[in-house]
Amino acid sequence: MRRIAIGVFLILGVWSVAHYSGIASSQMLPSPVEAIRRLGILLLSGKLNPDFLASGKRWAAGFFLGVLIGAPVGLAMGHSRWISTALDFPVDFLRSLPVTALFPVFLLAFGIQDASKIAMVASAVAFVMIVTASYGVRQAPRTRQQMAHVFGASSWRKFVDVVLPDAVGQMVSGMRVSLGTSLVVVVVAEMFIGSRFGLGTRLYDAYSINAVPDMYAVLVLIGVIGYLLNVAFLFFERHFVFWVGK
Amino acid sequence: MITLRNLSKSYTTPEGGVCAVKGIDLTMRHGSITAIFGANGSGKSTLLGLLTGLLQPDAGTVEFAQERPRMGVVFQDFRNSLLPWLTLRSNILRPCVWQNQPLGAAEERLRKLLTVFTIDLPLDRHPHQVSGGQAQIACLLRALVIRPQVLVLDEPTSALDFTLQWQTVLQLQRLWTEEEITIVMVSHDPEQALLVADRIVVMGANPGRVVDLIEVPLPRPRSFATTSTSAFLELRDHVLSAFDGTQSQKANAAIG
Repeated sequence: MRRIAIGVFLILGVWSVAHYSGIASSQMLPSPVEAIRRLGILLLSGKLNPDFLASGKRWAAGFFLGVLIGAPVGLAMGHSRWISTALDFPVDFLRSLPVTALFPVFLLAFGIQDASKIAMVASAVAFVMIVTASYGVRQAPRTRQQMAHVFGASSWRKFVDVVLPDAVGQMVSGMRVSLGTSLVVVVVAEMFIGSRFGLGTRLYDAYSINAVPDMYAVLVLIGVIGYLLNVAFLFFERHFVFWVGK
Repeated sequence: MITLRNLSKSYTTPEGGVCAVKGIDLTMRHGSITAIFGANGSGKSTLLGLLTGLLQPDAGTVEFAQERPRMGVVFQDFRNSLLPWLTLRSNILRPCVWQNQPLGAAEERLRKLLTVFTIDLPLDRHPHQVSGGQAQIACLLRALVIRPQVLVLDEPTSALDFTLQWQTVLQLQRLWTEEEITIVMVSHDPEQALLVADRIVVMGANPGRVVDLIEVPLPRPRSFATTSTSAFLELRDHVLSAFDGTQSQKANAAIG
């Protein structure tokens, strides 16, 4: 709790110094008090509810789709040298392309509705999951697989009982990294691909009409959401994959 | 009976090929205890790897009298052989699940083993919550719970304190007397090896090879008192002089 308080004070401190010292003009950077007051007003008025729901829906759909696609591909690559040889280059090539720079491709492929935004998020998550899941399998201690082999586990049981749980640690780390990335992608996608609702849309609208305090209010909200998602995930990690790093 | 015929195995390293074992010929009688003793790098673990089928020989064969026997193994890297997401109990019983052995009977067998080894093991804890010694005992129980025909032990008491080492080895001898398991174990302690083994294989390095086969005709059951008998002390000197010979050769090779 103390660490959180220190972190919050650090951000607010730097922000306040930048605002009150005149380093940043007050038209560009409102005071933290003003931004937080605007956030409170926006939240209490319920004006952000549709944006919050729209972004949440896109994020959740994209995130879980990305995990569902990426994890099995990564596990297969980690497990089979043949699949790894076949997919190493395409995966490395495609994951080097910034997903946000590819939004015209997603627009062409999936249209301007939610599908393109969800696909962008899924693609960002999937590549992280592919890499972490395949590393999870490759870097698992060989002794456990050897143990399962000499004790007579079938290939399937070896995969389910040993390889998969061993890879979970890396996969969960991949999911945690993806949480932040996917939130960034959903906001950016909403800013640049037309949508009626969404936190990215609200951010861009506020910027367009020069409602600077509103813009910062939405930024603070996105930061808080990202932080809370991370905390929730750490809780999940500690309780359900407790063996990782032990 | 297990027969190793002209067994050789090399590894490729960045510095070139390393011959881990070369031309190993050994026979292990059914229901016997064979201890393998030798310096680091003499190919002891490689030999166990070849015996368990985890390694494939470059030359030679591993032959079993009948079909491949049910094997229990304690790995040198015993900590990493445990599944960290399972409790010790589940770890110990997991091979029974893989071998479709009835779990009720396995639980009963585990209770018996805990009595034999007089150990109070925290079975409901996870591997990271127990000491190295407890984890190693759990690995030994896992190897025994499946009622192995062949038990392969790579330094099975390395993490135990002095008292527990001797106690475990003596209880293992007791269990072996009842169940006629063929045991092959690597040990760094010649006295411990002599206490349980029917035969000691002394290995030398560069390349890993058998330099001496020492029969241990000491009467059973052996106990701590056996270690002070003149026959035991003579055998210990024999093992140590064979080992010393391998070390002198190594030193001469290094000087040469």
